[in-house]
Amino acid sequence: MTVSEPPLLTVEGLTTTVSVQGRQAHALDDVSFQVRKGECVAIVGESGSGKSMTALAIMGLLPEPQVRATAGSIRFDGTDLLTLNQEQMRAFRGDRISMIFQEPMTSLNPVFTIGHQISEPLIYHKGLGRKAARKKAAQLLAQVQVADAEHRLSLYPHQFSGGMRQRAMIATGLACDPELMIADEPTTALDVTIQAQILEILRDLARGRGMGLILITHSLGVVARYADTVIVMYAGRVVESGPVAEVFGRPKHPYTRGLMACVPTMDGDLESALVPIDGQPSGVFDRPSGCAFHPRCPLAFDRCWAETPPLEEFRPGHHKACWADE
Amino acid sequence: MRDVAVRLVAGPLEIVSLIVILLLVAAAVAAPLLAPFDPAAADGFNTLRGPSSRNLLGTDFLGRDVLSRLIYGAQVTAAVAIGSVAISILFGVPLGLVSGYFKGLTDTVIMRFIDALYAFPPLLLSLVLVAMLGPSMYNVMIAVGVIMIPTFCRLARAQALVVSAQTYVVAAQTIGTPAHRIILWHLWPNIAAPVIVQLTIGMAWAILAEAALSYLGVGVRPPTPTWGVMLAEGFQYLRINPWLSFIPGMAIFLTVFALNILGDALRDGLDPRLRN
Repeated sequence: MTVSEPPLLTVEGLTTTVSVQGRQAHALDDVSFQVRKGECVAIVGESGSGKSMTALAIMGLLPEPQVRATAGSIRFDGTDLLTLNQEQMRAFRGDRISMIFQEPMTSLNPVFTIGHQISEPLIYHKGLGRKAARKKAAQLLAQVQVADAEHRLSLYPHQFSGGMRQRAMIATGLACDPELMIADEPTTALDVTIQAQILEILRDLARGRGMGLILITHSLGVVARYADTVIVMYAGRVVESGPVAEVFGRPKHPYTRGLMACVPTMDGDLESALVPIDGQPSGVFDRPSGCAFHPRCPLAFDRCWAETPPLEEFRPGHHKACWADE
Repeated sequence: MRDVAVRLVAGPLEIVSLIVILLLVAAAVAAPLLAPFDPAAADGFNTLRGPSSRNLLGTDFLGRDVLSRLIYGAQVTAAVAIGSVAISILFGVPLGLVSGYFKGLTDTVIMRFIDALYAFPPLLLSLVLVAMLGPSMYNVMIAVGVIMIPTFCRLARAQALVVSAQTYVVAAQTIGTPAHRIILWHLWPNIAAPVIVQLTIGMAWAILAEAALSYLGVGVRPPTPTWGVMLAEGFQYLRINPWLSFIPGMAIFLTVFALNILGDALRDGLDPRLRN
């Protein structure tokens, strides 16, 4: 990875508007970040912070007309994905950008065999015949470390365990050798040992193939271990971003610090309780004024509820959106 | 499929229902072989007789054999039941799937049209349709088929809405699956079970509708024997020979009842949550 190389994906000022029964609100507000080839970018934040919506926006699968991208751009290899129509976008999906989901239990169609489902993108995008696609599917399944792949292609999803289904999903996502893969909480539904295996497969594949990987998660442990860059989101905005070591070593935003304070550690003092962040995250329609985090922020002062802090680079590569400066 | 087969013979009621339907199909297919007499052959010396060894179910006002007419009537009943349900599935299910998958404007346009169709009292609408098309078996099929389109369309749409929110459909979209393939390969197989169940209920309904139309004189015309025509003709002689109306009425009742029982059995058999 050279610094001079243009980024694979550049999201800039992405804003999505939710309209429900005449009310409008920004679900994502001015979200910007970059993904380079072979880089693993983690997006963290609590439920409703806009992680998954960012992923859907990149895929062009926002639930329109309720949610629309109203500002900003998503440039992928020189093309602004937001300007494409569904048919043009379909050529990208599965071929150059792919996505895997949180629930391996429901992301495979129960009525088709695993082999059939892994073959599908190869048939659509690479024009392979059923037989050739199936052969490639066996290789893919072996690549994500499913033993006896050839035989397992003829099995149905209900005959697979959760971990194997997620591997099958990854194999489907990898089928056309995409340049970017989005993994939306790929391991939430799996047990810890399987989690580690799946994430290692994903990271190794990303590095090996020079594929950009966006890892959406709410586990800071996962971020620390597998990601290169981390983006912390709160209430639809990026509040802090930067290289993992930098952000975790010197967390600047009070929300990031709050998140880190509520992670249990092995060597921590059993007597000292985990510190939760007080209060509740706000809904899309009742976002606080100024910095959305101010009602829960220990450092908040009058400027915080008056003005929204911009995302600023305060150390090389390390950005924060916070007025407090100690 | 084994689960379905097991459910279909789960109890005595299901077995009896299955036998009734198989008898009906057999009668329709092999009517010329099974019927002891020509269903149109009148016998002026043998009118309005009760059951006897010669005419097992008696004779009507023209001396025609009721059993033979009942057997031939099964042909019309089966044809109308299958034909009209086929028409309503052929149009209703694709419309519902498209409506439920694309949502938005497509959905609004299709559903307003379906609602308009739904707003008419069903029997009145089929009366108007048959009056416009002219009374014949095929027109009865079309009329009854058309009025059942909204039922299948709404069912398919409701199911499509549920299934298209499933992650595997979103996942199919993320690999660039074309819309027609998603509808055909991802939605349809996953909504087929309730449609099959509705099919049995629709058939029962079609049999009743055909009988009602024939009874009112706008359906299949005499002398073609149908259960509705027999019921209507027998009605005039209710006091002299109640058998004439009772027998076709009973045949309609048993068939509709059997179809409903089988529909329930299919619903249980096709529901994965009820499998053990």
